[in-house]
Amino acid sequence: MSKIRAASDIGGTFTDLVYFAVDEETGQVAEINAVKTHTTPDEFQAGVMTSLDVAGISAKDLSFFAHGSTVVINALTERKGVKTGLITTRGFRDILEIARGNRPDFFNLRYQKPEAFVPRYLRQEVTERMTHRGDVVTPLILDEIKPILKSFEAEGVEAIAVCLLHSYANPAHEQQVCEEIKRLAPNVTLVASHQISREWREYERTNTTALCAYVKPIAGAYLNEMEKSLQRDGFTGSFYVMQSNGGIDTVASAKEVPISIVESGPASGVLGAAALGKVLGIDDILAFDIGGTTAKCSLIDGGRVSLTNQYMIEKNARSAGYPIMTPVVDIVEIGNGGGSIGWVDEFNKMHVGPQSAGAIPGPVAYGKGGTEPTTTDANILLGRINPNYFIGGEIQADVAAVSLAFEKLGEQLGMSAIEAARGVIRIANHNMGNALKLVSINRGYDPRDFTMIAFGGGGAMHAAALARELNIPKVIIPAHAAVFSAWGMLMSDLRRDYALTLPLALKANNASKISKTFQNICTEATEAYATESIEKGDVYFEQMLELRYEGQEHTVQIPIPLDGIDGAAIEKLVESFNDAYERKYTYRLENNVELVSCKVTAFARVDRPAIGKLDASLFGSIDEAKKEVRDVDFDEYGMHKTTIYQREKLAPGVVFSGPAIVEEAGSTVVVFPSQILNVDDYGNLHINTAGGLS
Amino acid sequence: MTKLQANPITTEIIRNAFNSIAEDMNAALIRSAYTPIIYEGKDCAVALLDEDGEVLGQSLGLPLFLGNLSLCVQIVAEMHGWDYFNEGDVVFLNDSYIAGTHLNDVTVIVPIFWNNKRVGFATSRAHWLDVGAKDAGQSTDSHEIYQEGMRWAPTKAYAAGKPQQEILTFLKLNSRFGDALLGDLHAQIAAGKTGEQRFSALLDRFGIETVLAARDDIFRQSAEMERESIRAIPDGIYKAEGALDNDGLSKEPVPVKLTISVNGDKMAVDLAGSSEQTRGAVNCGETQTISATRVAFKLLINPQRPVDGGTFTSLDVLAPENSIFNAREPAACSWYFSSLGLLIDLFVKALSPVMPQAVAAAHYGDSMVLILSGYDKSKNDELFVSIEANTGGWGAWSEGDGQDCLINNVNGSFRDYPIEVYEHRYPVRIMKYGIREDSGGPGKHRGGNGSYREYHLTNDANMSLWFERAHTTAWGLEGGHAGKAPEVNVISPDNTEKSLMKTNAMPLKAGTIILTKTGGGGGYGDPAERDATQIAKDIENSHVSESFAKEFYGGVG
Repeated sequence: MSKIRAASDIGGTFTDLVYFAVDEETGQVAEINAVKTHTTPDEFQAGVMTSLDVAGISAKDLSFFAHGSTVVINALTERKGVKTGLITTRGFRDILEIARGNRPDFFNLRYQKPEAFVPRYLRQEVTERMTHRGDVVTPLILDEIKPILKSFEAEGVEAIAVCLLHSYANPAHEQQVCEEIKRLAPNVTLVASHQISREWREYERTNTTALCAYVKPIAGAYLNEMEKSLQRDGFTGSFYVMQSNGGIDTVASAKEVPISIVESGPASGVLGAAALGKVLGIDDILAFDIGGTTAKCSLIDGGRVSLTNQYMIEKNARSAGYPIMTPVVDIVEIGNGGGSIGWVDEFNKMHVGPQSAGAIPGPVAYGKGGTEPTTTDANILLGRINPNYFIGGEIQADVAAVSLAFEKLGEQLGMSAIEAARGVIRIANHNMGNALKLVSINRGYDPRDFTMIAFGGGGAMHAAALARELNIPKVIIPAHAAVFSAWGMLMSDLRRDYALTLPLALKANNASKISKTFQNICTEATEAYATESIEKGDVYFEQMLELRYEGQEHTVQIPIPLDGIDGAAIEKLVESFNDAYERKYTYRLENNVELVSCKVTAFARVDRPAIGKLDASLFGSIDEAKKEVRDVDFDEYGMHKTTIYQREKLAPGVVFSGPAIVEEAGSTVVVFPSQILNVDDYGNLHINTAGGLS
Repeated sequence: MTKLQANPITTEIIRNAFNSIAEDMNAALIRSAYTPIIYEGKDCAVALLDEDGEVLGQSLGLPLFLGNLSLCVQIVAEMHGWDYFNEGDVVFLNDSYIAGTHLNDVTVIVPIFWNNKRVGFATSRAHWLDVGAKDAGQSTDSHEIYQEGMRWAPTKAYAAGKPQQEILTFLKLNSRFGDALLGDLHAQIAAGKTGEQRFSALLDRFGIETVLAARDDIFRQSAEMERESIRAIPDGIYKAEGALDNDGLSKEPVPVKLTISVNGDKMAVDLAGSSEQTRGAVNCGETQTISATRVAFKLLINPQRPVDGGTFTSLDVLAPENSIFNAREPAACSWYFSSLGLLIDLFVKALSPVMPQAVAAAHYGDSMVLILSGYDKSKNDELFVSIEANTGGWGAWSEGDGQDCLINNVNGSFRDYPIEVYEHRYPVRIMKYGIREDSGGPGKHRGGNGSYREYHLTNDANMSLWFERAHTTAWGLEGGHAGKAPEVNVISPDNTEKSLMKTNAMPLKAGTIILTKTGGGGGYGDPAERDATQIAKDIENSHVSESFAKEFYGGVG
């Protein structure tokens, strides 16, 4: 009898399913398989169920099901949430609308602020006030809640957000307000800021709470439907939801605070890179994901996925955007993907993206009416993508149309079609290279110390060129590059991140207070897991201090021992802080060090079998993997007669040198002249980017 | 590897690289800056310059510093020659008559050497919290520059890589926040080093000939575009005038007058008729007047194109000697930006008849600064100084309403300091912060509303105030009305109330309440033409009260 473990990731175009069977008696793990089906935007769960059908899996055979979806981010960006009311401390209902008052588009006399998700007439105030230390200055007047609820009801409010000043320091008033609301209106959808964040900055926390309430009914309904669909087919396994922090959580927890799943897709890709690194014994990784419209990258330091609490949506050079203060994998995203359009502006300058040809009409090569050349089209014209094996042979690429599109682009700049295509790739590579620099060099990391793990439809196409440009010595194209986000979920433990703002001097006499704070958070986390029947023995922690020089703002995170600290340990922490600070900011000071917040990540182990190695004896010779030889344009590295390999036929242990192209259904791997590629025991491709054996 | 040749693609990549180098420098500065006025307020700017000091790429926190860093490097070279700059040097300066701004703004210049040749400069400017003025932070009543703090001609903090310890110690000892000052200096040096590394890497990648060829292309394109845009403006003389409330010391308004002449592809801005330099601190050096005029120019001419060495080549600025816009020693300069903010608004006003598609009605106009300082009893009498700018209403335009509560034109990325962080740092409690209803000027499109705040002192403190634009409030356009003026009220613990706009280090007792209100923006078009649903929406959200709507719009619909 074998049970199936599966993960499903809903993207803009495709719904990916990755799964493998485990024999319950022997623990033997079968090969990992993947299925791609079209996303069904009106009813996402239908697409998920279809993917199970296509894979021939019955829900009753699933022991583990992890799910990532864009339901929250879609509801936000399409403004499809519910009518939301906000309750704030008296005197502060406008915090949400004033925001931070900044005007990022300097020279625009007609700048328009992002509109608040809750309009002013739906923002109500309650009399109460805490100090920054969490002491009560003005007691809470609970009687004010009833008329507020009345007015919300009259306006047809469907969800309520509560965010009071300094509630991170003491949530008592917020809790009392919530209890009163639940007493008076037991069925109303409710979110209080302390449930999401215990960190200071009132605008960011208020906005996060408001956005969470705004999407909560939508996300709840969706997850309920998903659960029901599975249960109808006899599902009795564990259902988990992928979060933005690079870990999964229980579905109950996701329904309670759905804003925590806002960036689940990209986060799981980064998590996948970290998980693959663990299998291969690689700790320092640049995760690099190229999709249809964007490229995303994130840095993994010592096996640890880096998180940010300064995530923004809809922020760009023209708009201040909206902050979401929940832990999100620290990803830099730019508008350059396979579908990004190359164009020339009124000043005769060439750009690539951020406009994308999307799924419809798609790149010119699709032959569906697209006339503007994309990055993908450039790769076709240069011979890197096989026109006869486009999207796994699903479509015959329209090379004549592609050629014509680049001729037109080139005419505007007085260059040939080929030169224009090279230009599009150079500019796209430059933009992507910048994004990679932002997460590495700009944060004090040297790319030479990192391995790039490239995935997504376009990752393998650009990775080797970018790595050479940035002196990244090695690129790995994972075995499941095209469905890597879903693969990442299969490798995840449960993860919950806690942070508590606690401004305090990092001095020996505060050691016990700091230890105690961590203890309390860990106890809280363990208890929360226990209410969901997760055993204490499966829970493990990571603890970090967020530190800075006294009076400064920006912080550096330093790990702190799990078994508490004493005065002597404080000295060591100060030293580690100084070292880390110098690496990040190029100088150190003799000033006092200050604690800003205590951060705990509480993981809960998920029983997870090890992934199996491939059996080389089942593969034929390397010659059998060779498909053809064709001319490929490697731009500044010249035009070469290039051998094309079929990826599925490459045996573990195979080694060859570039120029070469490796084709598989979902992507194309470009190996530049003199670069060396080898295949590892799991079917991952390793490219030594500078040349020589890796 | 073969070098890429200069062609439109390479030029574009290099142009992007110049700007991303500047952004990297700015990120390095913001990340490691010590004081909130830099990292939250973004009171800073960086620029990557070529060997002649021309702008390759820049990143601004504060628009007012536009193009100023380039001028500073060129002035230093004029004073000491280009060979003054050696590898490993870090040069800083803050003299108002060179850099143009107040002494708190410190410019740091790191010359970039590549293959032993000087190839450019990585420069930055940031506002230091305290440079030893007579009062903590800044004084609002200074009448000589000597009261405003340390004044530095170009000076090397590092020479050939070696720290000049005497200079650094001098800096530290002459500031009330010496540690913070050195922290901010280091942050600026970090920005400079970042620029140096990135620019060198770019030269390694493309070779200097290609980079310089691309630079020439970029400058030429910018200059051509600019000439084309000016040609589109009808030739003629365009004028506007207004006045600051006063100079902080006298009660007399300070006139600002400008005359723009457009002639073919050239534009000249003459400030003749503006006030002689004043006793109070609303003066600035010519360099900063040029920068402010460039900001105004940029608001209307190609606002979305990045600035480089080809920009502003068609713009001439004439600032009469010994005027507030070209002040001489010993003129005080601490509040220089008030005059410049008005200059920018008046520039837009002057051109509004001929550029209706680009302009907007006036905004609330000034930074509206409140400074509180004292010794915090709850922290062993530690010195504190908080400096805050306040948001206000912006002007409406032909297609839309002005925005509520945005920072003023000379600032930009400036962000409000979070109240929760503010109260941790200062012995002050903020009890209200909101949108000031009815403060925006009525019009077919209404002006944006200003903001109000209520501060409760929990500790004795000295208050300095610099609120402006009660005399020339935010004017409307095409029949739109002006916005309301700002207001500040101080209520002492004994309930005596006082209204004032400017004061210096006024001692206040714990328990005092300060209520600040900033002005609204100007309206656009006849209020009678305002859409009824918009009036109703404004009333529903109390952006406009019913009585105000009745008075100016004849009620709801």
